[in-house]
Amino acid sequence: MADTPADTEQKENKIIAEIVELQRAYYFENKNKDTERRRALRAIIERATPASGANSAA
Amino acid sequence: MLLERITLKDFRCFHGDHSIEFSVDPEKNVTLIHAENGVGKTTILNAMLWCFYALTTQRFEKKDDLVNYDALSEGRTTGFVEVTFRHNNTRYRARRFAGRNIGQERAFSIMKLEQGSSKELDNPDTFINSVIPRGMANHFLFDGEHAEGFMGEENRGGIRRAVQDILGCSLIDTAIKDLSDAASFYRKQMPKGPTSAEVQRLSDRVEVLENQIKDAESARSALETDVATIEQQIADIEGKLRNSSAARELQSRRDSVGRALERARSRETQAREEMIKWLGENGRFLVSTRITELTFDHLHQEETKGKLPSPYNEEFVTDLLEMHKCICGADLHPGSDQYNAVAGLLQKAANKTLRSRLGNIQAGLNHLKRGRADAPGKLDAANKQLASAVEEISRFEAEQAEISEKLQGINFDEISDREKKRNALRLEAKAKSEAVGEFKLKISQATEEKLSVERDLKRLAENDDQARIFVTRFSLCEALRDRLDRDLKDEEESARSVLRLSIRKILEATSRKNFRLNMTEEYGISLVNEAGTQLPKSGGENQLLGLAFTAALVEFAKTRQNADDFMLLKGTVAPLVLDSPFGQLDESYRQTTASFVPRMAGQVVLMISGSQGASGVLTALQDRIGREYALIRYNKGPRGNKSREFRQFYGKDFELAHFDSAFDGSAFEEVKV
Repeated sequence: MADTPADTEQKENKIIAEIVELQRAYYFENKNKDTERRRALRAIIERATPASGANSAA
Repeated sequence: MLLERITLKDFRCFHGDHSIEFSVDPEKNVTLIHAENGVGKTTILNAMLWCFYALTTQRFEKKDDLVNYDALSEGRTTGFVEVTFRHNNTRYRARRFAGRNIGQERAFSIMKLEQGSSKELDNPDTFINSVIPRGMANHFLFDGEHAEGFMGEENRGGIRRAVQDILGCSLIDTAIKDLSDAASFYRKQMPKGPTSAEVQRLSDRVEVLENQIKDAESARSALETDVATIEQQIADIEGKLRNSSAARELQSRRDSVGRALERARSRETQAREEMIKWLGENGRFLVSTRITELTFDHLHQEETKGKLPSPYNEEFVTDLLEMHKCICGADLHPGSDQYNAVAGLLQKAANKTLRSRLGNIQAGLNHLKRGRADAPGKLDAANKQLASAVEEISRFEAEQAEISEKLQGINFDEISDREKKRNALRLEAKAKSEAVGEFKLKISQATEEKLSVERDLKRLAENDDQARIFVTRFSLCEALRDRLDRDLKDEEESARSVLRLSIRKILEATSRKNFRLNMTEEYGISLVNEAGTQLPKSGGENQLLGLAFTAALVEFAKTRQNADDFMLLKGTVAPLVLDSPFGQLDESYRQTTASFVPRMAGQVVLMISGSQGASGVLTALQDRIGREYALIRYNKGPRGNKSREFRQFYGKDFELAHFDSAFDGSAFEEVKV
């Protein structure tokens, strides 16, 4: 069964919360590591969209 | 954060160890530092920024040469800045070392100071960013000389960043950029399969369109900045032309006054000529008054005595002598005593000519007498005419001087050039606005095409097992990015409204002009009058606007200190450090602004030069100053021909520069505890 818009929004909120937390960590750590941070962000996206069940969030 | 103390050791112009205590009294919350140019005001501001974040302001030159030159030549290779502060009722001491051989780990430390002991924090960067987020810090350290440019049209990006910094948007902003990067990464990762050629083509097309949109947006933004700059130039010119139009009115009034003055001068000349003419004709009546009176008196006396004219007629005496008969009947023999006595009467006897002359004298004297009686009235009339002309001349000359003073500095030849320039700028702005419209259309078309291509790409990839996952991730990144973008815009809009209101209130309190602040969605800042006409901004007004903007940011950060929003950074309460905030302001603005400065933040460090700290400023601040210092310059070289410079604080003289000193550098002297 396809996700309702509310479900999608809820899932997106969860991912956004994770992404913001990641940004916050890097911001406060004063780390100048853009590549590392972007890789970590992709990891969040990939966890939310596992290859087997490709549309878990989108 | 509340600053307690700063120590500079061999840092820039501070040779050796130099410290000051900041006022922590909430009522007397201003720490005032007097410093002439080049003595170290900017160094103090940068020392704080550098100590906490290893950052310096744009205006800070030779950013890498932080250790004092004399200290280096004496063999000391490091310097440091140490700031002691309070945060949430706990004391901390932050210290950052400068020097070539300082390792990253040693460079920055923060000690927590508790009851005689101290403990080093594990993550000083994290801690200081939680006290004052790095992005916000710049806005608490106000570089007054830079403020003019800060509020200029060319710095819309800077203003936007400032609003975002204080709003704490940094997290969302970086997340948006990272999501764009990730979307692009997944699109490019789509594997080659049965549909690979078409997937590749569509993916390439998306990339081309993305680049087109990015370029068009960049061009549109640049053009919009150009248009805004031109609009401000037009507003400046129109302001000058309004002055020119006022000048034209003044000129016309001057012409009219000039003509009236000429007429008055002509009346004056005429009145003087009338007087001279009148004096020529009638002056004798005035000068002969005494003579006339004496003559009349004498004549009357002689007449009374019967001496004038003589009672003897010459013709009658001659007849008696010829007849040899006296009127008494006696004979008159020539040579006899009687004959000689009658003949002697001829010497005094009146003849016809004498009687006629005497009659003429009396008639002349009577004329003078009558003329003299009329003289004062005529003279008064002439005098009144002259006085009236002289009074008018004096009035018109004063009016001319007043007009001349107002007209000074206005170059009439420039007016027509300005008219031409304004018309040319209008055309340029129109052309650029049209170009903006074209770019917007291009962006809209490219965005529409991109969405369509992306839909095709997704449809195609849906049927390709290997590509599907990448499309899903690509789509998710785009969806999240768009959502954050919308959220950011909403947050910014509400922040702009708060800041706009705050700045307006500040300007109302400090500015003498009745204008409103206009802040567009694109962060174009302008001043408009009640009719909505954009007004020219002077250097002083830009500085005032920069200061008002800073005050509004500080206030906004304070209201957000307990903000409960996981996507935004919390606001903060921080000290405000103002370096030369009054440079471009005139005396009246300085005084008004100075009285406002202590209310800008809980703690204010104000650095001003002698010219900025004129008596009006100090009077406005006097009840709020908790600590006060002067920065004194020491020079190794001789004084030469330089004259001694002093400033007096609280009745004591402070010499601002010393020579033949042991070092080159600056030092604090406390002028008020």
